[in-house]
Amino acid sequence: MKHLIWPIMLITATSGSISAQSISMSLAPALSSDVSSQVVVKRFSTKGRQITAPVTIVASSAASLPDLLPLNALSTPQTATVSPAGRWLNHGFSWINSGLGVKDVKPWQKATLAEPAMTGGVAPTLTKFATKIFISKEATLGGNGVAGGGCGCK
Amino acid sequence: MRQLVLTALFFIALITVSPTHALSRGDQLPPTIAKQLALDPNKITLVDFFASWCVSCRIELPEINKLSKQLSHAQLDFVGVEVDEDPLLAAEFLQEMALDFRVVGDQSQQVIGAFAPIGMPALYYIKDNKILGVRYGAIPHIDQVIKNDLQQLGLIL
Repeated sequence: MKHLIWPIMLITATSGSISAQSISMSLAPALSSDVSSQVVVKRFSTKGRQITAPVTIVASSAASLPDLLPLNALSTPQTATVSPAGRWLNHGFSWINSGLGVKDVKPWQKATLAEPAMTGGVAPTLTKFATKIFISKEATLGGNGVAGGGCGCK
Repeated sequence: MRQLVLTALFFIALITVSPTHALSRGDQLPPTIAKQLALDPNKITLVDFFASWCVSCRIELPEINKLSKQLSHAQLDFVGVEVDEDPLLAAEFLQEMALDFRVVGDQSQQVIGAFAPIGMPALYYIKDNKILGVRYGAIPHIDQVIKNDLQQLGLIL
């Protein structure tokens, strides 16, 4: 079985290096006009396989950023996702919530909700370990947590 | 008759209930809030709301702090508003961040309750107690964004 796995790993490693090279090549012409952007060449290896081809990492600089949305555009009211009648009914029936003592959690009141123990599940503490494994395997972090606690969404 | 009265009362309740109003661009600050923040009316003030549990605030604050030192402009001021409910947590967070600009403690959350931002962190540009612009949520390269915004607001840096 081992002699079958090694070629697969080799192909995977090779294809990874090819894709990394092709990315760096496709980025190069676009970056050539941008004087202030930096290109960092970094060699890396992972356990069990060696990737010898250099991988180009583009250090993002202010000049390479796309044009930012103007302040006015961000301040304009967002397009309503609920019809005016729906909004009217929504606000109109909010007296039921107030009568029952139900209150919305505001974006600035999410300190307790942001605690790791509030993630839910059978054993919330295990989430910490699961996150650790996720970070090491995927080399990424984020995408979870409390809405409104930094993401800017509702 | 009774049904008619009940129906009328129901519709009156629907009409009279009004949604909470959040401060947005062009709005004037309520006098009590303006007094609490003690803003200079002649300067453009960046009011940044943050909390210790807000991950994006932790990332953005050092950048804003660095910018506040870089942009020592006569017509520009930075004010932070710490909105943690726990005063001890707030004090620890401020000690950790070591901010150089003025920070107002809002542990009662009255100030942020009046502003009512849709997300954290929330950054407001205020001059003469009037909101000139708003930025919500996590924004990469916030320092560059602020510089662009200030130029857009007519401040020559």
